[in-house]
Amino acid sequence: MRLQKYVALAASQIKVDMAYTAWYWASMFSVTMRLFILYFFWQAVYENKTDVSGISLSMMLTYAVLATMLDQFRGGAGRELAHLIKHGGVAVELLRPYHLLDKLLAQDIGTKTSTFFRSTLPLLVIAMLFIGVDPPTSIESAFAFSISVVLAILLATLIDLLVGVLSFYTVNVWGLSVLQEAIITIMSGAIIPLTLFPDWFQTISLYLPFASLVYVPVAIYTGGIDASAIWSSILIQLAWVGAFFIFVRLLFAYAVRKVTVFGG
Amino acid sequence: MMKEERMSQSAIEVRDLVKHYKILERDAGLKGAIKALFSRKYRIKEAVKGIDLSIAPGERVGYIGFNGAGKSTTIKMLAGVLRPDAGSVRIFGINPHEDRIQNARQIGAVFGQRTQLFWDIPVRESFDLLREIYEVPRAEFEETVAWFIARLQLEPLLDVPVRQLSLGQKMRCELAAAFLHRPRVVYLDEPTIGLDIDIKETIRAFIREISDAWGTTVILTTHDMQDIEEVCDRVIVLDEGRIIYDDRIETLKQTFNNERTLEITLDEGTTFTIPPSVTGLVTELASETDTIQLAFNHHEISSGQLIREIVNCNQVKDLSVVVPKMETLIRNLYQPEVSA
Repeated sequence: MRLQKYVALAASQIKVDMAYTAWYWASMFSVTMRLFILYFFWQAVYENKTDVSGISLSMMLTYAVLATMLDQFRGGAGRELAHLIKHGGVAVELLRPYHLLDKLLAQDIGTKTSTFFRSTLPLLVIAMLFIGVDPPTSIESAFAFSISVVLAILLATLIDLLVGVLSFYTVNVWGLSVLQEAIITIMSGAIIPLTLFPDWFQTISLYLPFASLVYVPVAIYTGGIDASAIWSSILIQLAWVGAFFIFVRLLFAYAVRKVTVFGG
Repeated sequence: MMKEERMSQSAIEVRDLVKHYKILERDAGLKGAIKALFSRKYRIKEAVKGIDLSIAPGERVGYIGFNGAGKSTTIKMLAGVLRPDAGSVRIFGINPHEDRIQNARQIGAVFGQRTQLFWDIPVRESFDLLREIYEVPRAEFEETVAWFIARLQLEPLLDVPVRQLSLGQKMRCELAAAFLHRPRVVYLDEPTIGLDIDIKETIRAFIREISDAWGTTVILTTHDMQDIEEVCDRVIVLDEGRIIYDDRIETLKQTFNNERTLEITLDEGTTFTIPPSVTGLVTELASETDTIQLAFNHHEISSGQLIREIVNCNQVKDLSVVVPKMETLIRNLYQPEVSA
């Protein structure tokens, strides 16, 4: 596999993203709004309390900010694949000398790189100035956090791609994709930390990949996950990434064998 | 041994190619839609019913047929996008579906309205990205692009994002993109559809020139017979998933070369009578009251002879002899009884 063409694809995607400025400002605005809504929400919850199930306000706000940031890196590649399949563009993609999943992944990395620099960094500064973000609890947790974030983003992309590949079978994955969004939003801990959920819910989420998407990296940062459990949590993330990677590839290879390209 | 040698020489080798589609049958209306949720009935449509093809390197083949004849299905199987249900396909010895990526390096394609350029970025950058994807050496790429820019007048388009191009501009860029990596085989599915005559001419000349220069094998599907006449040296006609004609274009022309139509307009109020001396040699086609069309074979009776006979027995106001166009030749293939 020649890496150079995938680097070129990622770089080109960054240029494409740069071209859509209206979209950029709209998303900056909506994320800023979301941050401030979360801020006022937690302020209200903590009105007469110093902690909620052992979490202080500043820890909760740190969690909310980081979770919101991380949530911006969900999906994209799968939607692109579903679009290609539905509108027949997949025929052209299959004519090219690359693996379509690798191409989508490369473009996704491009998009997420530009998201990081154009939106995450400035938003983080806004959050630090106006909301308050605690520093990481230790150097180890900062280091573990950065690894965990990369795994989380990769896993999110793979889950999204899985839904995309399914559109080879169902053509219209809109419903499936909405369901996926809803499940992930709640079960990943993107809105509130999983520890605030009832015990049975936490037990279920232990056996599902969704906690690895947001809760694990952010809780590593805030200290919600004990130092002793950090590396085993990352190992679980890694296992999910591996499992989804293989599963998506197999499903894709099988789907392409059966592919029916629509139209003309 | 002989056969193997021949196999290794051909660009495209197809044997007993078959493709079925499963089509979901559904009753009309909301009731039908609900019923289809619970019980699914499928109908099998045979799109391609056993095709054999052998195309030599550098040949330019016009692949034609009515809508739904199975042209696009065949092309997609040749390109490795669709998997055949039976039979074999080899493109320079490579099985396009099994070794799709390896095959992708040696083929290029223009698929009708589907763009292979990158929608959001300028044409020049699209070409650059294709250079990376196809791993084309930079010197070779520069040379190719310079040539294409000159031939297809791409200079003013290079900095325009693909989505802002007009149809004719886009198709020229598509064509350049399909040939950029110097593929050995190129599939062109309706490359001139909806274009004005100037651009059609440019595109036809381009295809001829490149194919001559590099020995590129070209498979062209089109509904425009002018494309076939000007670009191709061989015609394959497909009807309902089967090949009904496959020969050199000159042979096709020669076969029907002697077919003529005589159009006669009579003086008002007179009726038409076929002179007894020519009965059996002419066929009366759909005629209106004043205008009569007679099909005849130039070989069996000369135009002059026929006209003389007609004029002798009828009050002729006007007449003309029509030499059939390519389109008529093709239509004759579908209805051999008319041309008899």
